[in-house]
Amino acid sequence: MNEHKNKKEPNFWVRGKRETKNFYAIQLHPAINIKSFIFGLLFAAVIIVPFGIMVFQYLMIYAYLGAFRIYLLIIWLGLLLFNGLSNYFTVKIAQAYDVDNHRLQAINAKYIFLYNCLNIGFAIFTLFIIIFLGLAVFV
Amino acid sequence: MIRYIKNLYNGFINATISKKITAVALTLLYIALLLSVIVKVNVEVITPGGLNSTAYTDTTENESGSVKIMTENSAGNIYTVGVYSHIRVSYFQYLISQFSKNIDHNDYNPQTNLSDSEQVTRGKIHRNYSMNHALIVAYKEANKIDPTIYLDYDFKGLIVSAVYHFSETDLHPYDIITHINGVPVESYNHFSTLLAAASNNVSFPLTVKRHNEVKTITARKVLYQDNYLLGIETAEHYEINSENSTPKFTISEEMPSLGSSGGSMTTLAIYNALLEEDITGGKIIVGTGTINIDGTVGDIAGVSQKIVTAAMHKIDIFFVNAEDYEEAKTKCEEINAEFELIRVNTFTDIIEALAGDTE
Repeated sequence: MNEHKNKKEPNFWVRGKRETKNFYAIQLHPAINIKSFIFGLLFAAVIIVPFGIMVFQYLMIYAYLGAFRIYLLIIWLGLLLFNGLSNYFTVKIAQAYDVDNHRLQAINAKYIFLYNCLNIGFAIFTLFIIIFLGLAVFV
Repeated sequence: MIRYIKNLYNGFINATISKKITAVALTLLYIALLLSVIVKVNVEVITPGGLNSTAYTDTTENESGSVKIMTENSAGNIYTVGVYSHIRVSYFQYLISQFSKNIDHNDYNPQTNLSDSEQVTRGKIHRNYSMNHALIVAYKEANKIDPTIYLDYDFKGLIVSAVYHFSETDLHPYDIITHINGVPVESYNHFSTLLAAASNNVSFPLTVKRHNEVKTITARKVLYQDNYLLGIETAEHYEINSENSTPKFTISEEMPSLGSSGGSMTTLAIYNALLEEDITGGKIIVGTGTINIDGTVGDIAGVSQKIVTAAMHKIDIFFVNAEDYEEAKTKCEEINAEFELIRVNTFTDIIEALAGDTE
């Protein structure tokens, strides 16, 4: 019992990584897989797009002040958030469609959201895209 | 997706009251944000812009500008200054634009004002005729110093730059009006005189050149805000032949800005490029004001935003037309601009001011 008490809970990063790995290990029905992926992206877009438009519209008005690197940073953070949200909704939608899949139901989507928001691979990939494409447009 | 939405709904029904309130508040906030970026308001927002290169020569290292003069002289560091105009902005843009003193707002009526695309067309036509006017005035002035400098140009009529919504005349932008009531148009003032003599609400013929085809159309002055007007905007159109001119020049196909407000500075840069002596004395010169064919410098819009733009760059002198001088001066004082602000009425005033400055 003491042993159990002293056992440290893994942090959100480790847990998120583990939950993401578990989710991708589950063999979902192809229809659920496609539906959850597409609607996951769609839900994330519905949440992110208005904020994206706000950044763009702000940029239109205050473009004369320069500071394009700050805008690029905001866009980058927005993409990371989008990645986190789309993964979160993918899991949630899959859980709504496959209620009898206990392994799927055991996954905590909140950790997947946090882990994917800070996914290093995606962060570096989008950073490179922003640097090469974004700077070409703005600077 | 429907199942997930149902789950969300059930989750909401079974949630605690505090969670329900948070969910409703976040949803309302989201809807408000969404509406604020979608709903447009009938306002034109004018913000500061940037500096644009003007003329350059064979010796200019960075070949950027609106016109190249084929000489080995220096065109100097002379820039036009542009502002950004946003028509029918979103409510969000309108709100955030209120936070800056450097941004101006004008009412915009979609029923009477030009649309975005019509304004762009108008801006392009203004820019093109402004370039022609700048070349004519600069060559004429430079010819007084060096008689070998010569520009071959010919008046072709009045170019239509905008047709307002209330107009009942079948004119289009880029049309060149050559005759009114069969009388050849000699200048803008001549056209105004002939138009004033035409009866109100009575149709009369206008001869126009459209896509190199000569057409006769009927025009009519209509009542608009207590005045009988044709409802068009025109400017004198000149055809300029570079091949027969000395020195030759080429106009860039991709000019960076729209409008005619850079006319006076383009004239100055061309003039400087034509003459051996660099009258700018190495100073960075910016200015605003249209250039008329007689050398007068005309008024422009958004002078405050232009002053702010200039202040964001390390410039030495800012030339402004007389009509906008007071507004420019007030803005300079407000932002503690460090450049010299000079009021000018004509192009000759600009040359004299620089001569006094460099002596």
